[in-house]
Amino acid sequence: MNNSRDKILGAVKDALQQPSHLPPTPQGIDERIKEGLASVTPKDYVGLREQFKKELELVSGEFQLVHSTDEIVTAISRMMQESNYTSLTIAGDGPYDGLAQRVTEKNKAVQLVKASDYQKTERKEKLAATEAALVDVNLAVADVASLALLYDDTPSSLPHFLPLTIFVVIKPEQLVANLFELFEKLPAEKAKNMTLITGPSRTADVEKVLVLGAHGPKRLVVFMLEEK
Amino acid sequence: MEMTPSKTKQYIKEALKDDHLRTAVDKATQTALHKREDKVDQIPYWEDLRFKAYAVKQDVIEHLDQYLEEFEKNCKQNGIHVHWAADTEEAQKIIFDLVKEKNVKTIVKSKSLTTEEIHLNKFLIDKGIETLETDLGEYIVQLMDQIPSHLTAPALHLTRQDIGKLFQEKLGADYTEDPEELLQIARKKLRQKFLAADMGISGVNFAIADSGSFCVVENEANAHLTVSLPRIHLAVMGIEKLLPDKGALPVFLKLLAPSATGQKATSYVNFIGGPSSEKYNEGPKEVHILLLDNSRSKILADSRLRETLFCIRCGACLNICPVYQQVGGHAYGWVYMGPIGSTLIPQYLGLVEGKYAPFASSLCGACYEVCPVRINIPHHLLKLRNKVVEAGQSMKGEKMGIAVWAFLAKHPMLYRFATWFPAQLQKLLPGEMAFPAPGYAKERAIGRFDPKGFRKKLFKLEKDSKKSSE
Repeated sequence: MNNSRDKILGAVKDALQQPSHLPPTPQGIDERIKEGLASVTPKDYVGLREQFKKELELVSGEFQLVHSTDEIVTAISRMMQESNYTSLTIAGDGPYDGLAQRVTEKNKAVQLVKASDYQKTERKEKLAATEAALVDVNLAVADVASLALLYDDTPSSLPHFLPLTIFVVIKPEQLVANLFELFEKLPAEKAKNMTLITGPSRTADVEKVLVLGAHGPKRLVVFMLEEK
Repeated sequence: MEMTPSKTKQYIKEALKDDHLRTAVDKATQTALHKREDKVDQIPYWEDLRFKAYAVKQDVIEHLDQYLEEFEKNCKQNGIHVHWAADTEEAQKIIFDLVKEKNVKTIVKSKSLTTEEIHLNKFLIDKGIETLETDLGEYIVQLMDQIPSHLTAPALHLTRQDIGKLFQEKLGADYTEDPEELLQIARKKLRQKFLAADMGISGVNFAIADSGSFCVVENEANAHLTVSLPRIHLAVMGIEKLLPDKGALPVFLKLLAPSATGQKATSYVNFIGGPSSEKYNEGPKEVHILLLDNSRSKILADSRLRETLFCIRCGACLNICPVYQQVGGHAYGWVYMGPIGSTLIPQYLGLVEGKYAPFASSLCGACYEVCPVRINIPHHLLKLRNKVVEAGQSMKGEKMGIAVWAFLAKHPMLYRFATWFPAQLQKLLPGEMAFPAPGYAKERAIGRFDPKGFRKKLFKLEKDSKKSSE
């Protein structure tokens, strides 16, 4: 193994002895990108929220603005009932686990599945069979409607990917303007293990026809919780 | 199905006769182009992003040794096992040794062109290891025993009827041509495979040197499941896939999605920074990364062609290419196709096997216009054409034609005669008939030679223009 390593690095070093004949990059690119970004970034929170909503809906996600946790519980209970779902997954130790509990109290047909109660093999099999999940994320990105999930901050990331429907709760302070701001804000260590989620899973591999629910969720509902 | 770029001429002939293929490719490329245009229009700083991406890639490629060492060091700190492979054979050996050592029986894979490059599926399956592609398009072409026909849309050349029949025949499913039902058949089948697999194999879109992590970009969540469900994860990465730090990611993520699939952002960007099983009680126990050279260091040695290593495999140059639109991806005979493939084929496989690839282009320049990292593909194709000629690999007819022209160019009297004579000979042909040109004239109308000849006309024009200026 070391032989190949040294051989490859040696070959790369030798190749780089050849002076570059690549064209130079014009000056001031970073500034122009900043100016361009500023020109399309809403100036206040409401603008960012509306941008996030618009972009999320364009990628077949659903957005609901709510002002209390009661509204979330009612909405999830209704959607679970409409879809005839009987299982709701939570990661465990999340800020909205209590809401999931309230959903099961409101809708007795729904069973709560807590990912952190199960060990590895059992966990993935159990979660693969569940229909919905109520989860939280770390940050939301307005200009592309992405949700950033840092694995360091959740006991399980599987509820975000295995069930068919995902309910996500975010708060105004979690909203950032764009990917540039996101990567500036993310702590380097935590950013090593994470996923950016933008809408439900999808494919267009059959004649470019868009179909949702490829191998992950088919439905993604984001609740923006603006508590008074 | 084994394919080779040395049979490109034959593949092109077959593709041009296949109206079904051309319709499918046209529909898919036009859809992708329109969606791309729509997204690019929404980013007023798009051109600046392209310049920025070029600058980042230039820095990485021209300091590749340093970035590779930094990446390796940080991967090891994160508990990632790093392997180095000089070529396909070595890569296959390393992977098979790992498979044996870890007692791996089943593998799920997410889409990776680098693993296609080293024929990994065939190799592992021949060794008795169940190896399944999980991206829907890749799964379809694997069942078909084909190679992908597009960098990002592997089954672009197939219709829903083709896929319906395939699933009926290979999976025993009831025939359907509904894309939603076709997806459900694959999802159900593959979900079980994900849960049972011992190892997941992915490619790498971008690797971050200063953090020792890497990311995999996708839409289906199959890459996420490939990484997070099996006990071992292996990522196979070309050595050029590095970025210096996470600060460069927004630039590349913003460029990649519109260029590849006409999206603003792909559905999932997965970041892997080490084995997560112990830390998170889920995910892989072990993460391995294989750094593959496979001629990349040779490409690096050319101080201009090294720009082709900037490619982020988005496929935008394929969609816009008038040649690709007519012949599809299989005509190129290799895993990398279209304009960028035409530059990579002779560089990876050599000027003998890849001698036709640089000529499969009209040099219209559209590929350069859409390339998110500003690779000057037409320039490189010309340079590679030169190399093919210098290596004595140009086509026989072309060689003969150039030799005749060179001889005439050195003998002006003969040259004059040669340009005058055909027009006189043409007078013997009945009516307005042009010289017969078998093959060439089959699809095109050929004009008649001007009886005056080019020289006479030019001199007359010069004379007339002098007169009018006096």
